[in-house]
Amino acid sequence: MSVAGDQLFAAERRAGASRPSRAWRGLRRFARRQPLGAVCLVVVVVLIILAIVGPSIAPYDPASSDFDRLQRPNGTNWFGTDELGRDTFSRILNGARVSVAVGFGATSITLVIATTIGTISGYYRGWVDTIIQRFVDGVMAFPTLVLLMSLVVITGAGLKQLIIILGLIGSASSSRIVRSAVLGVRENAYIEAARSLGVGTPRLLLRHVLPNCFAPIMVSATVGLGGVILAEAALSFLGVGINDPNHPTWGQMLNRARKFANVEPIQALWPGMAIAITVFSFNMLGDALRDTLDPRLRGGR
Amino acid sequence: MVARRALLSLITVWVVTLIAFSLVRLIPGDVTLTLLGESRTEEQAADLRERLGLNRSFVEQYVRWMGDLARGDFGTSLLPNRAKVGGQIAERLEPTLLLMFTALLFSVCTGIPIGVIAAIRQGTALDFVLRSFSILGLSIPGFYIATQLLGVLAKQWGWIPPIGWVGIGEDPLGVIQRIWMPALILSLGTSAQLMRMSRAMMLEVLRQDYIRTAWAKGLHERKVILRHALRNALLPVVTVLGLSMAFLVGGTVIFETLFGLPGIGTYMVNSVIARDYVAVQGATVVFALAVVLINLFVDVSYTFLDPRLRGNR
Repeated sequence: MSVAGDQLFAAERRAGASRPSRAWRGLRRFARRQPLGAVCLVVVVVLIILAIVGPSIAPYDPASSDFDRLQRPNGTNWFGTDELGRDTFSRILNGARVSVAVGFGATSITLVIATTIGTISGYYRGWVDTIIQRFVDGVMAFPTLVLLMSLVVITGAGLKQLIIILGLIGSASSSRIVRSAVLGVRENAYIEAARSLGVGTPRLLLRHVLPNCFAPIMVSATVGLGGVILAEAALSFLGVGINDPNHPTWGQMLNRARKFANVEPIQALWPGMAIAITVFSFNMLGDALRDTLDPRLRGGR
Repeated sequence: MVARRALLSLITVWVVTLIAFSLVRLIPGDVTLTLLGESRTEEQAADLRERLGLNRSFVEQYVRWMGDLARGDFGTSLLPNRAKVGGQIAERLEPTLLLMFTALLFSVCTGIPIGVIAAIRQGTALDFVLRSFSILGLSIPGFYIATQLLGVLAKQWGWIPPIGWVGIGEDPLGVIQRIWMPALILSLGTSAQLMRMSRAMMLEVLRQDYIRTAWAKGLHERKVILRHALRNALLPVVTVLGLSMAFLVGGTVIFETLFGLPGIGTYMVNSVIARDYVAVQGATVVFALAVVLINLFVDVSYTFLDPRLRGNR
């Protein structure tokens, strides 16, 4: 290995070592520059915590009808009760778990698949790229909800199935974002330099190309998370999603509340707000990340 | 340009049919078990295999299926009535198409002008208000807005939207009464996306030298904005419009169900509940083809607006 090559790898190691403190400083700078984005980050973190501990801190059993029906919000039932006399606050807390599980589960799948496909497509170009991209075009032509419903008929609407299906569907559009990022990065001089130093293709992709595509990948994953949660809610709202009385979802709750909204519109408010705040937070966080991570947008706006 | 777009669309159509066709064949194990359930009889299972053509080779199945599709034959429903899916979809085309195009019209007519105004008044209170609304429009699910709106309207004024459908030929006013509200709410998301994109693009174009030149020549503001800036900013906006088509078309499923419009979306939801796979597959193909065709339409129409694209490119 040449001297220049050794120096290159040493620099890689140093960059790895100083990462924790850099991340912390980055976070502080992010909070200063993007106050709204930081607020949304807090909301997202709270949501994740609720998803983990929510069912255990919920004051009542979300599935049992312990109270009078359709109560207004009061001291006992903070969000009131639904048409079967179940505590809405407890149900909202439990619903957070489904949303977060679907969102993060599907997005993890999407990240792996989209990054693999997008990198191959963008790095090798040529006929490989053409074939992959035409296929991606085809998948993207299907409205998410429609393809989702079509697959739900086959696989059933369990939590696991939904996560896998949504992860696969999301991969198409995300892979296009990864691809365009890779296309841009591969033209840089440092890629040429690394290649001329004899860095092999797998290492080149993993250590030099992908880290430089980190920003667009993170942004698309964050915005995608909101989209996945929305898709699950829409599916449940149509009454064809997860339908397990012990595991209430926000979409399902909104669907039930819609049927008696002419009597008590406030019951539709809670699940709707939960969905809206969650999706809004992921969208805004993605926006703020884009502004922070994309050097071209960092200056004045 | 037009020929290239048409060719690409044709390839996309082909991939779409291939995916839709593969969906049912990718099921691991016995398809009849998945679609008919445990209680199926051997007779029913054999009948289903015959109807889905599962007892032939994959290629032969696909060729036959495509041939049927080209003739508008989507197969027969798995429900006991064995209705023709193609005919059922055709009957329900009108509400869906009207809803889609009205929503598209609303989003273009609101999103682009609002984006342009926000860009011209960048940094002012007006810009801030418009942008805030667009972010809200992107984040609050339309089905939630519709639920609250319908609930409050029903509770406060006892108003419920008219249910059922009247043909556009018989009662145009009745159609407008049924369409305007779902279309408006459906258009909110797309409109917000278009607004953000047109604002961003206008800001970029407004900084260009030729815009400064146009101002320096003493042209009227309207002329600078509409003739010089807007036309150059629109191309990426059209791309976004194409991408959000899938969103808009998918949204018809929700709003038809919510407002009781007897369109393809309602048909699809009912078929999913009844586990009528042939009907679901038919509706899926129609929706995906609609997205491809609207995209092609938008692209081609834009080609005529932009002189740079009119030649061969």
